Parts: sequence; C-alpha cells; structure tokens
Amino acid sequence: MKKYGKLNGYNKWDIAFYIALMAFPVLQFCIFYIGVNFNSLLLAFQKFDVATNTTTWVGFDNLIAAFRRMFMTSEMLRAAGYSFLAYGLSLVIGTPFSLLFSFYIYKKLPASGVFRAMLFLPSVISAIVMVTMFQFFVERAVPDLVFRLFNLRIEGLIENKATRFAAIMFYNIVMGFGIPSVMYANAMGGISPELSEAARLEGVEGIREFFYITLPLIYPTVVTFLVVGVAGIFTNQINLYSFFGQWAPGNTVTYGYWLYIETAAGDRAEYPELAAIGLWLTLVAVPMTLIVKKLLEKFGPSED
Amino acid sequence: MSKKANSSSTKTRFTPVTVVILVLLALYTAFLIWLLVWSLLTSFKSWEEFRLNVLGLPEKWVWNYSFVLGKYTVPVPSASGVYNVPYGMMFLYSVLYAGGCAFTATLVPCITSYLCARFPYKFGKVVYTVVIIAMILPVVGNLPSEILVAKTFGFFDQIWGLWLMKANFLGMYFLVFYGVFKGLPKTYTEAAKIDGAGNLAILFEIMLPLVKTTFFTVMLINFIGFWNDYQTPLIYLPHYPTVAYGMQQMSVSTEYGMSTIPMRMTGAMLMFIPIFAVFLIFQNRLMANLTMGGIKE
Amino acid sequence: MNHFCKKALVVAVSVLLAFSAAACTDPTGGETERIDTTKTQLYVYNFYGGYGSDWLAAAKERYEELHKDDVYEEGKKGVQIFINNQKKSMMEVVASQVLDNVDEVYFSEYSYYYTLKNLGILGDITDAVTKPLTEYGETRSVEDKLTDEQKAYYGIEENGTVHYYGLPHYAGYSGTLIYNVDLFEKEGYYFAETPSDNTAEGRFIDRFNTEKSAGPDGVKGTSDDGLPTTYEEFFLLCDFIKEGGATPLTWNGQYYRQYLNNVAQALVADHEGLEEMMLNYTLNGTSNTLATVQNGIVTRQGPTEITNENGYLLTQQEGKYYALSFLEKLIKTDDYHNRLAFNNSYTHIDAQNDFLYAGHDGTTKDAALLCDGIWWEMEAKDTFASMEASMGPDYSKYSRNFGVFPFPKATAERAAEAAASEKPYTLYDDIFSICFMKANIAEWKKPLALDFIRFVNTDESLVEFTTITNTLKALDYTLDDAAKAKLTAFGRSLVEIREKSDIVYPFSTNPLYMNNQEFFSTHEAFYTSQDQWSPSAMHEANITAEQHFANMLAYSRGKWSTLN
Repeated sequence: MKKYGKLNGYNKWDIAFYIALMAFPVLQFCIFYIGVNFNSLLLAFQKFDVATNTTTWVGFDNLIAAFRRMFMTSEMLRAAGYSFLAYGLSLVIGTPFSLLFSFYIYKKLPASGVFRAMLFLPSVISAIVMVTMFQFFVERAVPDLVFRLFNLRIEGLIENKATRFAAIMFYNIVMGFGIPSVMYANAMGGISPELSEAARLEGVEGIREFFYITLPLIYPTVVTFLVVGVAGIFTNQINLYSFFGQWAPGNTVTYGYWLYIETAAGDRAEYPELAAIGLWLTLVAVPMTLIVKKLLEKFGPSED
Repeated sequence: MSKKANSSSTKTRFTPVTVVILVLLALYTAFLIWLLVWSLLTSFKSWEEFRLNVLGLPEKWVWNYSFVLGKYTVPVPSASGVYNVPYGMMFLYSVLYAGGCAFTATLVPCITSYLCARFPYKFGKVVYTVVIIAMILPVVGNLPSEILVAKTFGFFDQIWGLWLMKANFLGMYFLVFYGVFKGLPKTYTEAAKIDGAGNLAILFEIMLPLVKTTFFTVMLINFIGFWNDYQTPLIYLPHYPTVAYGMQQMSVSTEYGMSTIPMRMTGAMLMFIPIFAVFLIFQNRLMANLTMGGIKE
Repeated sequence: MNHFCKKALVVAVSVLLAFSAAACTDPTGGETERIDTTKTQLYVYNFYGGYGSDWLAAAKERYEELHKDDVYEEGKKGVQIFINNQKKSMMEVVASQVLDNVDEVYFSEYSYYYTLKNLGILGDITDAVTKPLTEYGETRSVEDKLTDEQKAYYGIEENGTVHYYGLPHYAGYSGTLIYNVDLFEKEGYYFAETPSDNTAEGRFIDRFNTEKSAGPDGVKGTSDDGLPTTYEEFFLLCDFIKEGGATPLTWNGQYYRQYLNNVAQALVADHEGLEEMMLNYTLNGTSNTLATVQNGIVTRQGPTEITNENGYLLTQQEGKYYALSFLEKLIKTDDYHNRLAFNNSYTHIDAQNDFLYAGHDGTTKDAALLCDGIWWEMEAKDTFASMEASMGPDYSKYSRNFGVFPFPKATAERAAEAAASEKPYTLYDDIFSICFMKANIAEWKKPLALDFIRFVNTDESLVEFTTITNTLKALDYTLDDAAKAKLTAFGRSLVEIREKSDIVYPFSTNPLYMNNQEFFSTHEAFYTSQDQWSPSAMHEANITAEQHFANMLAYSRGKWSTLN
C-alpha cells in the first residue's frame, strides 16, 4: 500500500475528499446497522424470561449451548451438509454454465439478445410466483407427461424424496443464471476487441478463446461471485420457504433456512441462542470467505 | 471506434462448443417459455376448470384481470376514514419506492467501493471486511429497534425516508463495484492527475462513466429487487402500499376465491408485465456495453 | 429490441394502466367508510382472515344503534365503530406498532398473550372481564365464560390481585375431520346395531338392516349414530368406503406434514382427555397414561409425577402412540387417501374444491372425509357459491350436509369410558386468537372500549358470531334451537360436538412453557431430530409408529436440558 500511496502522490486534499465522500456511508452504517443491530448482537450474551419480562446477562452460556447445538446435533450437521452441497452444486454446475452462456451472448451469436432476456427473466419475477409455476411443472406436468408417454404413475419430483433436493437445486441454479450471466457478459464486454481480434488471427477461437482470453480477463468478476457464494453457504435458504413454508423436509434444510424459520417462528426467549448461533456462523464463515478470496486471487488465471 | 467495427470484431463463427451452448440455451428458453405461457394461460382459466385441466389450453377463456384489478387494493387509514388504494396508485408508489431505493442503493456502494479500491487508506480494508461480515452475520429480532430508529429520524412511512434507509454500502454489489474499480488500469487517473484534474473531476468525468454499464445493471437488478420486495413496504410504508405489498396481501387473502391458482397467476401477471416491459426497454441500455471496451487505448 | 417491439410494449403498459384507472373508478374502490364527525369513533382492528369481518359489521350495527343517543364527547352524539380490516396477524413486528396506531380495540390470531404483554401494548381490561354483564341482562361476567385454564392464563396476578389484559377471541380446532353426511346417508357408511353376518361388510347397515349403532357418544338418536367408535372400526369404514369406489380421506398435499400432524395432536387430546393433556403445558401433576410399547403391545407404567425436570416423559403418553399408529395406517395405505395427498403442488384450497366437487363433476369419484380446520367452510365459500351458481341451489353452503366427524377412540375400553361420560370428546384449540385494548388509549375513551369488549362477549353477540361464521368463539355459551336453525349443517354439528366436549387450550403460565413456546407447540409435538414430523417420517422414511414413539422420547430428553 505504501508504495502505491507515495508513487501517486496522495495528499491532504485526497484525504479531505475521501473523508467527505465516506462520511455519509459511514454515518448511515453507524445508525442503520450498528445502531439498529447493537441490541440484537448483545442478545447472544443475554437471557430473556417471558414470565417475568426480564433480561439477564449470562456470559458465554449461550455461546456454549449454541456450539453444542451447531456442532454436536445431527440436525445441524445435516444442515451443514446440505448447505455445502448446495454451494458445491451451484459452483460446479451454475458457474460454468453462467460463464458459457455469457460467452455466447458476448460473442453475439444468433439469438443472443433473446437468450440474454430469457436468462434474466426469472430474476424479474418474484420468487413466490416463480416457485408456484415451477412446482406445478415438476409436481404435476412431469408426472402427467410420463403417464401419457409410458402409462406409468410416478410421484412429483419434489414429492419424491429421491429427486427432491435435485429438483430444488435445479430450480435454484436454473433460475439463478440471470444476475451472474448479465454481470459476466458485462465484464466480457469490457475486454478490448483488439485482443480477441488478434487471438482470432492467431487461430484462437471458440472454447480456447474462452479459456485463454475471456476467462482470465473477467476473473475478478468471477472471484466476486464465488466469494459471495461462500458467504451464501451460511445464509442461502435455497427458496425452501417458498416451497415448504415452515415444514421443509430435513433432507433439504440449509443453515439459512433453518435460521430463518427459527427466527420467524420463535419467540423472544429463543432469540439469544439464535444470536449465539449466528455469531458462531460468522466466526467460521468470515475467515473462510476471506481465505477463499485470497486463494482464488493467488491461484487464478493471470491476465497476461 | 465505431459500433460496427467493434461488433464485427467480436463476432465468432460457430464451433462445436458454441453449438452445444446454443442447444442448452434453447432448451432453457423453451422451458422458461413453457412456464410463462402456462402461467399466462392459467390466468385465463376459471378456477373450476383449472381443477380438472391443469396443463391444457383453457376450454373457456375467462377474463380474470378486471376482477383481480378490482380486488387489488389495500385499505389504509386516512384522516377522514379508510381509503382503498387502487392498483394505479400502488403502481406509482412502487415506481417511486423501487426507483429511488435502486438509485441510492447503487450509488452508495459504488462511491464507497471506489474510495476503498482506489485510495490507499487502510480504512478501505476495514470497510471490505465489514461488508463480508454483514453479509454473513444473521441478525435476529432487530425489527422493533429498526422501526424505532426510522421513527426517530422521521423516515417512517415516508418513501424518501426509505431511500435513505436503503442507501447503505453493504451487500454483494459493493464487492462487484470493488472488483470493477480494482480492475481499471491506474494509467487513466494518473494521466488525469498530471493534467491537473481534481478528485471530483476524476470521479465524475473518468471513473463513473467507465463503470456506467455496471452501474445501470446493478441499479436495474436493485430496482427489480425493490419492485418485488413487499416486506419493507408492509412494515415501513403503511400509507404507501406498493404493488408487491398489494400482491402479498392478495396472496394471503382467503376471500372471493383470490387464493386460487388462476387468480394468483393473474395477480402475478399484473406484477410481472410492467417490470418485464421496463426490463425489455433497458435491455438495450445493457447491450450498449459492448461499445465501451478498449480502456487500454 | 426494435421499434415495433418498443411500441407494442408502450401500448401494453398503457393498456394495463388504463385498466388500473378503470379500477379506480370502481364504486367499491376509494374510500370505504368515512369518519362521521358528528359521532365519537372507536377504532377497531380486525385480522381479516378466514373468519372474515361480517360478524364485526353486525356487532357494529347493533352497538351503534344501542348507543345512538349517548354522548361521549362534547358536541357529538352517538358512536361509530370504525373497522380496520387488515391481513397482518399480530406478530411481534406488527404488535410493536400498536401504540402508534389509531386502532384502539384489537381482534387477532396466532398471538402469544405474554409476548404482547411484555411489549407493553396491552391495556388493563379487568373491569370489563370480571363485572357481571347485568346491563345486558345477563348474570354471568365474561370471566364466567372462560374455562379454568383460560382464567389461569389470561388472569395475571399483580400485587395480590388478578388483572386481565386480553380475552380469547375465536376458536380454532385445526386437526378436524369433516365428513360428507349426504354421501354417508346415500351409501350407508354406518355401522349397524347388530351385524347381519360375520363379514366386514355385514357390520354396516343395508336395505334390510337399517338400525345404526349408537356411535361414539353411546346414545342412540344423536347425529353420531352409526359412526365408528374405535380406530379399528374407523379403518373398517375406510375399507368399506374404498371398496364402494369412493376416496376415504382427502387432505392438503403441500402441507400434509402440518395437516396430519394437527390430526394426530387432536387425536391425542381426544384420547388423553383434558387433565392428562394439560400436563404437557403445566408440567405439574400426575400422569396416569405413560406407557411403554413393545411389538405393538401397550403397557401402562403406573402413575408418574410430572415436574419441570422430567416433562419429556410425557412423549410417552399412550394416546401419542395410538395417534401415531392411526396415522401410520392412514399414510401407508394408498387407497385410504387421495392420490395427491403428498404432492407439493396440491394446496388446501385444491383439497377443499376436490372434496366439494367430488362425485358431482362427472369426472372424480366421491370423497368421504376431509382433513382441515373448523374454518374450512369460510375458506371454501366461493367454491360453494360458484357450485350454486352453476349447478343450482342444492349445492349452496346451506343446502349441503357436512359434519364434524367425531374422533373414534384408540381402544374399546376407552370408547366405552367415553360413551359413559357426559363429555365423550376433548377438542384441541391452538389458534391463539385474542381480543385486547391497547395500553395507551385515551383515558376518556377507556370506558367506551371496555364496554365494547363486554358487548362483543355478551351471549347475544357470541351467538351472533356463530350464526354468521358457522364457527365458534373460544368462550362458553349455548345456542337455542332458533339460532341453530340459522347455521349450516356443519356449523350445527360443530356446536353440537362442542357441547359434548372438554377443550384443551395448549398453554400455561409455567415459565418453562412460556420461555419455550415453540418447543411446546403443535409444530413440535411429534418431532424427532432424525425424521422430523411423524407424517413425513412414516411416509418417507418408512418409520413405524413404535419407532417414532421411541424416537420422540430420545429427542425430547436430549432437548430438555437445553430449554430456556
């Protein structure tokens, strides 16, 4: 950092400018994040008694109880499994497809405008509506189709526990192409046309161009989405509430959904333990996110 | 550089891989169109018919729209009684709410990330870490205190108040902007500095134009998010119900058969069509990014 | 996008907005009710769910008429009950705004009384509750219309005296079986007093053997004649129904976990009875029904003292095992239920529609029973209306004949005990519906608000509520024959079964209960960590009733030490 500063000659005017522009965001953050959430964060160290309407300090009791619950109950370990699985699936299926789709659009291949719109479309529609539509497709239309074609009665794909998680992840991945695709395509749009022109002249085209030119150049954007995804392991509800309300089957439940339901359904007396669980999740997830970011930046393809 | 030259230079012939992608995209599109057409057709069915004919074309086409529009109201207390806010007004509130919030919720992370990415102060690292923490840390039971703070500042039940409340730098778009600003070559600003440009000029005349596509994309995504957000208006805008708020109230309704699938699809279409129109119009704007390459020249 | 598309879009959006403008000119749109400045207003918040607001409109009309000449404010005469119908239930977020709202009296549901009390939003209504309703010609007070459990819960002791800050509002028995009486009559789905032969079929009435058995209440000539008295008989009936080509039970597939869980809990309450059932919430007393189960054989353990330390033992109440075994048979026998009973796209509205249309649409086969809550007729009122419009007056809500299906008992012994009792049934009400006055109401308006709360709890108002909604208020009152005549058949059967029932309100003031309400709620009543709720455990993991019963103990015991 030092050399950067010196070299470019940052001075007190820069500092003044920096402070002036930073003032509003920081103030806003202090009021609407710290100010608003402060009491909630303290909850992790308190106990609330409904009968007497009193709050007492309990030190690390909640944290210890939360630790036991998080790392020693089969329910939560299972939720951990599905949370990581959900991330893994979107990582190995969702990300490559988004990138390839963006590449197609960036290359302006036939109907790319239409595809772009179609990719983005699900993000435009509210989740509750989209889920209703999708649910009908996999629960009624698919079995109906199978029945007509093979005269075979099968269960709906969400009804059937063997296909349930796959169907839900299919929904999440397919309906989730929109934002990354558009962002990737934007980033690709920023690549100098001369570069790909030069590559073409050298015979680098199609998938090779994608791997050797496009991907390295938009890598910072990809990293951003992957890092956000890591954070999402602990917060992603994979739309379970829209599918199942409060009654999502255990073989789909993620951390994000679990916490949401517990908070929504629980009473004030149950908040302290949830706050403590939240703290643990944060303690695990923040370093993990930062490490993943560092690693991706270190071992990713270089721009040269 | 002309648009024509640019577009021809990025054009590629088909290769086996791109053909595969094309097929996948076509499948995806077919699936989505099927879903949408199904929803649209469902909105033209009577719910008695829908029971027995879930997937086929409507045997009898029913115009559910005027009925749903008539029911698409939210009662709000007013000085003289209770006033039923009609769809048209909700639409206006939605535009104001989603438009304003989308702008502030895009501008603030954009500027903040610019400061963090382009200035050498350690504080930027702090901000970056704070963003990551805030993305992960679940906060429970903070609504009452949030309402209290909103009321203290006079933001409660004010659309402009929500613009300010939503004007935070937290969230993934901070990281997106951060990545974009980090990726911009230093040469541009250095050259401008040598030419004697001030910080403000560099920000507004050089940096912001360079990220304008990202800015508009993020703003559009935010706009859609706020358009579909019913929770915030439900709590913070009791006198200014938005269309999403109305839709939510309709979907929890048990009256007049409003909770049937055809009626819900009709309501969904009423919410979806305007934003889809906005999206298609701005789609052009997004495509324009292909002309803004070549910062390295 | 080309210009044509753009233009088409602009046209589309304009058309849409034009429609919305048309909606604005709708005479029912805009202002609904104006504030009458010549009168004093009392602002009333009503949760606008399945029970609607017609009952409140009727009460308003009578109340305004009654007080049209009374003066509450200088220069004004009479009172205007100003109703604010909202679809937001009294969750904590909404509740925290009560003090700032204009509304003064509230009617809502799914609200935990002590949570609201702790928020400081409840005003003291003790006077309205405890003074006899003499001015309305009654000798009882509102308090007299509460059960002991309700009094203990709503009456809070402060400085040596009992104060009330809220009252129960409507009743909600969520795990109810509803049967199509017309179909039962037509098909003779009734047990005969004396079987005509030794076959299963011979146990039912037919053209020659028409005398029905006495039914679960043990009394002949009542509406439950011929209905099954034990679980065993219930499944004989299911077999009989399915062999006749009809569907025995229909339920909501999307939330089958919830709906069947509710049925199981209702079965437990009905089997265990009020006293044993309340132990689950008071955690204080002797349980006589704890049991062990081995290879399907249930052995009672003898009386066990229940305290805050060993409350988890109550997972072993025998009624819970029996309810699980009931559920198991229902779930695992495909012909006992509708085809989409576990399909995630099949909602409660679909189930209601199918139940009502079954056998009348030329496509689907008859359906005998539906699992839903007692409010189902309100939710299905549009289906009734539209059937009436397209198929004639015989299909109206008031013409069709549905009833609350009285639960059979798990064993013949328990059935006999129930039949001999004055109250053969126990109902389970977990809707947590509440009426209250906000804490910061203007001092001069308090008497008006309190009087209105008294007014809606007079016998006349309670009866009116029932005749309008065909459901019940969670207070004690009776309907005379004239009032009953105004009800739907289902409403009448609901009133009738309530007259013969004890009612469990699943709450207590035990701090352990209050600090862990979610753990003690219906949602977690049959929960285990591995297989979650019993309906899905049985349907998906093929768990048996016996295994689940054992797992519940393990889960509850583990959880017990971590309770707040």
